[in-house]
Amino acid sequence: MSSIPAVKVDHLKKHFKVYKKKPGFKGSIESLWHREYETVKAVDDISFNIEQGEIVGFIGQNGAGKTTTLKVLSGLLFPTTGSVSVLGFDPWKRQAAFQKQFSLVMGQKNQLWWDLPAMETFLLNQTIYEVPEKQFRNTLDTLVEILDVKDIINIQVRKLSLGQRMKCELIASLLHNPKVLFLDEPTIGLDVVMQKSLRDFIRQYNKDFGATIILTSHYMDDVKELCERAIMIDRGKKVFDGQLSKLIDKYARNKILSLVFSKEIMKKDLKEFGTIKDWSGSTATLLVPRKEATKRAAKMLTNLPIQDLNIEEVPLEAIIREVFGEENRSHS
Amino acid sequence: MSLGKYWHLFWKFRGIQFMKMTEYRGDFLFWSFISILWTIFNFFAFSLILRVSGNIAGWNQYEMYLLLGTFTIIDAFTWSFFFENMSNYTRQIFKGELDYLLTKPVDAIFLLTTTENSYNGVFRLIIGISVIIYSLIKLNISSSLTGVSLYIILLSSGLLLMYSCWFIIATLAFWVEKLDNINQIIPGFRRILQIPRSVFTGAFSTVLTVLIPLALIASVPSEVLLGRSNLIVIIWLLISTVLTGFAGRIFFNFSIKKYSSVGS
Repeated sequence: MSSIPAVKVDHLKKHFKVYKKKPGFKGSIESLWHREYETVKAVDDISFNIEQGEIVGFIGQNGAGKTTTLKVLSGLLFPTTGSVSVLGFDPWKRQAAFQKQFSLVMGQKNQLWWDLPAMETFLLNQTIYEVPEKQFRNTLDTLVEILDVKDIINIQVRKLSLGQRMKCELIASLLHNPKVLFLDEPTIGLDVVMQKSLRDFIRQYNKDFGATIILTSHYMDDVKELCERAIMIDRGKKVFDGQLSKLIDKYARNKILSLVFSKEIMKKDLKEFGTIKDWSGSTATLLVPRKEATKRAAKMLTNLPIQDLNIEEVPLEAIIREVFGEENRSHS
Repeated sequence: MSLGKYWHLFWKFRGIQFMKMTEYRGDFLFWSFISILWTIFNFFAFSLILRVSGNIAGWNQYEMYLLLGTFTIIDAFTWSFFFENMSNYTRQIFKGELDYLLTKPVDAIFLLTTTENSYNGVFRLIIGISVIIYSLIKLNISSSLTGVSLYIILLSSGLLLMYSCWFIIATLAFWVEKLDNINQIIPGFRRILQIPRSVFTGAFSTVLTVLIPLALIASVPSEVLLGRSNLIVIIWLLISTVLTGFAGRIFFNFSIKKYSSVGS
């Protein structure tokens, strides 16, 4: 790894002034001569560095400031204060040398020409990014093969499914072999099979090209499978930055014990071991304090007719909910 | 990116738009038909006036047809090129959809002003050129290569001037939440183009030939073909085109900071 960070964000703030309309017809009339504005702090003083080759998950609720940060890093939005640097460039200057080295993929927006086959967009991007013919063909062939889209790149984009379009979006964004990739909800709306296929591809791309990747996703499986490091933001502020495992250590207070009994047991017999989430007589699911999970599991093995026992981490989604639940409580 | 690459990209977009047009043949044929009808009607309306008055501000029937031919060429570009791109530009600003365009390693203004076009105005363009040739024959004027070249340069300059004015007005979209019909402002003024500049006198002349010289756009190239050009006016048309172009670029670079995109 190089000592120069691929992405450097220093006390970044991005504030928007938004008009707040009073409800109803009266509010509309009043708004003709008097309007109240408020400042929305989409990003509020965040700093972090990302090393070259890292895949970092950007976690946060809707409106937390994830996409705004990515857009500042892409040079789309001008920072209110603070500074950002990507591969040593100031993104806002939108220099061609910088733009040829990064790509922004947004799951909810598309760059493909809707009325034409995706191949036409690929050829256009070849011209825009000045990709030599040989490199273009090699990269295209590789991406088409990995993503298994050989049969669809010559079909009108509007006739493709969401998953097929997303794969073509990725190809269009990667034909110039970007060193930095900003992926904003790349798997949104896709079925689980397609999500997995895209995740495999992103991992492979990172491995093959040593690309630095920032990923935002509502699907925690994306973050869990791809990212060792996570940055969590809430209301524009960074609330966590570190190894994903440490996030789990820090915020996951419980572990899940899944039990299968060799003979049916009463619900009251389980109460002393933890919080019962599910019980059917022959099976049960318990939440137990994380630090005591092993001890309590051993005690259950001794005292109960257990056929099978499984200790699992609480799903990341639940941890995130808990973190933001705490944040909300502390703000209220 | 070199100028050659921009040239290549410009024609690449034309190719893409042609492919798009072939996907929707019915739309192309319908609007081409409407465009032809409108152009014929415009000539018909002026022919009625000329039949009664004989001339307009000293321009006789065929001189006026030559001016209208030039106007028709400009109108073909107005609807097939300028309107298509500027409508797309303002729509993208209002909807926060400039994102992908701004991440490309190509001048953003180039992309915003050249990506789109329709081919509905092709017949209008052909009619305009045909009328100019017909008028020159009727007027017994044989234009030199220099004259034709100067005509093309001044016509291009006039088109750029008009497009730059339109671009500045469309860029206002960054500053307001919504501005309906923002792209009707310049087309609304284009009526000025089909009248000889000598029609405008006093304050109108100052505004339309000096401050915002829209009245020069069709008149000056037409005067060159008719052999009655005025060097000062020609130079002013060229200078004002360059100044307006720079003003558009400066205003865009200033306004783009207001771009707020949209959340996902």
